[in-house]
Amino acid sequence: MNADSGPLLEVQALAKSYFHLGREVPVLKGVDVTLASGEMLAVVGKSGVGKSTFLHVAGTLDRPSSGKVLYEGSDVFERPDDELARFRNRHLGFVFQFHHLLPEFNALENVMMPALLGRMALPEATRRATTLLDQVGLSHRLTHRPGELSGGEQQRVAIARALVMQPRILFADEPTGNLDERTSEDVHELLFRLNRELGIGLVIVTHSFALARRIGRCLHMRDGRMEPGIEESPAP
Amino acid sequence: MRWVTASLVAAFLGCTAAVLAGFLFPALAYLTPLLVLAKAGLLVTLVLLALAAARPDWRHGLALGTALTLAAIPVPTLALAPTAAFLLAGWAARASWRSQRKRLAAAAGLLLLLSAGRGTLDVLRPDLAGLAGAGVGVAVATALLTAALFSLSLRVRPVLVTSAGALALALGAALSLRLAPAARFNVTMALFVVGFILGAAAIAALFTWLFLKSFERLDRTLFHSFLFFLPVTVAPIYLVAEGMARLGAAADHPLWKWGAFAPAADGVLLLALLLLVAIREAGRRIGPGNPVLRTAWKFLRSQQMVQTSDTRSNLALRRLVPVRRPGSGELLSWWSAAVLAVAAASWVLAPVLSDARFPPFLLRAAGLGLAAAWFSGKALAATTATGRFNVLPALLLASATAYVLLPAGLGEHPFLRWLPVAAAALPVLFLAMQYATRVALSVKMARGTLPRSLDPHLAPEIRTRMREGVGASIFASVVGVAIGVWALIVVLSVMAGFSGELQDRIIRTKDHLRISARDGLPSPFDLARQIGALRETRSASPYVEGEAMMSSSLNISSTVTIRGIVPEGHGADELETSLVAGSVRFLRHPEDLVPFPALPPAGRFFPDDESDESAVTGIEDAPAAALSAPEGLIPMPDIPDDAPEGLHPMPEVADDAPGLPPLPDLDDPVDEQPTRLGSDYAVSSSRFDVEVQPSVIIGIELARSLGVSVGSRITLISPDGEIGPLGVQPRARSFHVAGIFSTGMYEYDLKLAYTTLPEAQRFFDLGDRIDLIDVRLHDLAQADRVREQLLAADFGKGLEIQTLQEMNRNLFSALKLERIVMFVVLGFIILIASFNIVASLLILIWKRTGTIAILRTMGAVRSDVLRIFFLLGAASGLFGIASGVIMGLSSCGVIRHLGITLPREYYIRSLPVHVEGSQVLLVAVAALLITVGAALYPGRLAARIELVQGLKDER
Repeated sequence: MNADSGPLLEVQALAKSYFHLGREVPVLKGVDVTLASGEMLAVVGKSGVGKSTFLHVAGTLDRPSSGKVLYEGSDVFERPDDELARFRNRHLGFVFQFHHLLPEFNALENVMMPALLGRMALPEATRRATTLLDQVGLSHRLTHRPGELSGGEQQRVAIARALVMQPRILFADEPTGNLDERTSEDVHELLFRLNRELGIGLVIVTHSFALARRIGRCLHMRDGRMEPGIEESPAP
Repeated sequence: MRWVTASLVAAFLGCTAAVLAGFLFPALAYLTPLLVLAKAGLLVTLVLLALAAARPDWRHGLALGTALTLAAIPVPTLALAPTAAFLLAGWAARASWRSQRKRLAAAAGLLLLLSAGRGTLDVLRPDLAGLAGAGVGVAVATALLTAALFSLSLRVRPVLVTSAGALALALGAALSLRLAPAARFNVTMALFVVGFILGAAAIAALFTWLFLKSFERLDRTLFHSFLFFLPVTVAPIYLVAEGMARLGAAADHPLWKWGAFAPAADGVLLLALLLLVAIREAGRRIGPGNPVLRTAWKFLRSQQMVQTSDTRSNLALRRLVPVRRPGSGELLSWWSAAVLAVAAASWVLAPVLSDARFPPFLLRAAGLGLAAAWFSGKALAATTATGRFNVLPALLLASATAYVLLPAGLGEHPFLRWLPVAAAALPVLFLAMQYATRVALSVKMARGTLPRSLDPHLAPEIRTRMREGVGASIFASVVGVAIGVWALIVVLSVMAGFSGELQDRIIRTKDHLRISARDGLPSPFDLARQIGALRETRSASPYVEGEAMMSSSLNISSTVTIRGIVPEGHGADELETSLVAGSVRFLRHPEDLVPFPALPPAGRFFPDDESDESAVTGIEDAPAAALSAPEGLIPMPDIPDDAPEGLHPMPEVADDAPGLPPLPDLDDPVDEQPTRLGSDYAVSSSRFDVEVQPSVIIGIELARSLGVSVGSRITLISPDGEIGPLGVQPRARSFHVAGIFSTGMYEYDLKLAYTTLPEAQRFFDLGDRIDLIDVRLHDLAQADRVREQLLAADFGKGLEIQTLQEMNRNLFSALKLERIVMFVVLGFIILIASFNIVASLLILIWKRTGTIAILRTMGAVRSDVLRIFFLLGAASGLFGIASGVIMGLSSCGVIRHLGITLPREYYIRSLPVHVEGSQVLLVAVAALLITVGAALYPGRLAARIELVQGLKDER
């Protein structure tokens, strides 16, 4: 990992609008964010201010209306869709609020999937997936399907899946939004540990201010724009 | 160890090859029985080796499978195979009984009995070995199916049992159709069609299910897969065996015919096995590592259905029906299997066991009725919804019983007439009783007098469960494709059979090439000789043709085409074979005919109800005689039975008439006899004209309409007569009927008549002129080529040559058009089924939007998504097509084997079936294109789903 180069992720004047009944509904109105390699970043804000949209666009899942997303200096949206997919596969990991595991696949297969999609050989993929599941403490649940796992376990499998290709950045969209306090704490610990040990950049979208406070850097999203610092707001 | 196995397998295959060689080279055929035995021995050794290596819990099943196979060998084995089967089954029975595997033990016990019976039969009646083998084979199939049902523990058993029942119904219908006379054609045909469609749908479901299941079970042992494939391969085995038997038809001994079964079975099973291994290996190599394949596979397996409404009704039923004993709710048990086996055995053995008092159908009905009663009883006693499905086999078996009894029901005895009604009423009665019980129980419940033990609140819950397995909607579309392909293959084969039959008749009767010249042929006989000497031609004979009316004492025909032919050579021989009475000889020697009296009025010989061809000959009680033409000449009811041998007309002629020397040989004693006989008649009945008149051979329909028979006198009237004092006077001339032919083409049989060349020339006033030459070819397909060749030859100048196809252009093009139209119309079935595939894939995509999105998030490109769904669609199409082809081929085999009798109007005795490989291939390829095309659209749609939208939809 070359720490001396510029920022790993650079979001410049990012704007995204949707169209509803022919009227433009702006969601992101010029967002600028940079993330250094191995850095952690929390994005907080009320529901519907565009946190998830920001994450989708920054994570190349969606194309912006205007603005740029630079990874190590190169604009990713200049690439065609298929190449973008390959880029995602190799460099980015995602964890969502709803674990989004494939219900028909067992834990091991779920974790292996990105590796297989990246045309990795089966034995290597199996080895990596097993190691990762062991790291997240699920070595005894390899053959269980998502339906047979608890919520925390499911989210841990999702994290393992996001990490199997050894990405540079992990995007987490309310990773613990569905979990109880205790389990959330476990998942948070896991994320921090991975960041510490593997040096993975972490972008966490959350409305848990407790979590945001623990992450050093925090951006507040309001009305489609990013503002630094945590502003206490009474969340119901 | 591996080398030992390999060399044994090699030896086994070598034996198979040798058996095959025996069919191709009859000189080697004497080895066949020996080779079959050797194969059996090798198989036993192989299986014993497998047994030794198998997992302990598999050994019993393996032993059982081997024993089953051994006991089902359809050749007499001097009780060797049954003995081995007996020993194996005994061991399996003991071992599985000890290990508390009661079902397996029961199966082994059943097999013990079967193989014992088979062994006894082998010793006592070796000639029945085929039948016994088939009987055990039926038991094998039943047992395997049942075993499959149990080992698969899926809730599709009702489907399977219904399939089996429907199959039984269809088979029963097909078989009873054979019993039924043609008079009841419409009813039986309709029933048959319904039964057949039901059966076919059931088989479609069964085959596709088996296919999918066997692919799902690729992780099982090879031998298990082998056994599993057995039911799937039975139908093709039958077809291949038939083909092999035809190849080996030169060998007369029935043993060889059955011997054909062995290599066929090996061949098909080995092929299936190799296919399985190949698929498995391919799957093992690329499957798990390939995300697209893996996802498609998971999707295929995981369409889930929650059977809530079902469960709810189950609970409702359960509240009303008493629990008699635990475990009375299963659909099939080994007892049921045994009862089915008994029914099957009674069916198979009916012809052997029956006597005058018990006709076969009664035994069969008894067997079926027993099974129906058993299932009805089980349905009544059932405490679960699954058990209640016993009603379906009960109903089907009862209707099969009723159907078998149908011939009896139409018989004289009033009791028998009510039998089928009773048989059909039985299950209805049972159902009514069941409902009565329910009503009574609900009344009790309302009053609160229900025993505590029956209280539904205390009964264990029926759980609502998610079912895993092949998705129902995809399954349905696979069945749709299968039925479409099946229908196409059967219909096209039947139509090909019909047109082939028709063409055959035309080819036999008409000129393949008709050569003519505008001003008559200059030297027709030389020309014919030259053309006949060509390699491609079989014969060439000059003839003349003209139209005339024909009249008898009873009737006048419409215009008839009279052909003057040379009554010798190949063409005459062919005519001779189509004669049902008389002989071509009488064309040459009309004097032989003269003495016979004009036969009594035809009404006597053509009774309306029994218008069989034998009637035409005048010997109603000797239909076989009708086929040997000259004997058909005995239309003299006056001859007393005890007449002296010498008076009997020409007994020897029967044998060598077709081969008679073409020129009259006056010394020939054969010719003298009828003359002598005739002179007796001439003396005794003076009113007959003894003047020798020319003779004519006419078609059977013409004979029928004119009311004439061989020896009768008819008058030919030429339309273009001489101009006399009273204007144009038609020319008339008397002929005697020398023979009656039947080509099987109504038009020819009504409109065609043959006489000799000189007579025709004289009658039509042609002088020496000959207009036409009839050329027959070895291969009709070469007609155009031969024509070119002839026109190019130096003698071909000024000739006009027409081919058979040109002369019958209307008919041939109509047949072709008909087939194309049928292809298109039935192709729509496949098209519709492919829309089913589209629909079920769309449902799948809709349900899996989130999965698709997450795959894309993880780096799957759009084409990966497309490929997943495309693969699913294409695979369903492929499964459907494969099952459809198997079904179609086996249906064709069944139709050809059983023979569906057609009513007389069709002019063909039984439904002709001709399977053309190219056509089957065409159907399969067309269906593949349609289904693959259908799979493409949902795939593209899935690939276009927006990623973020999919992520949102997941919630």
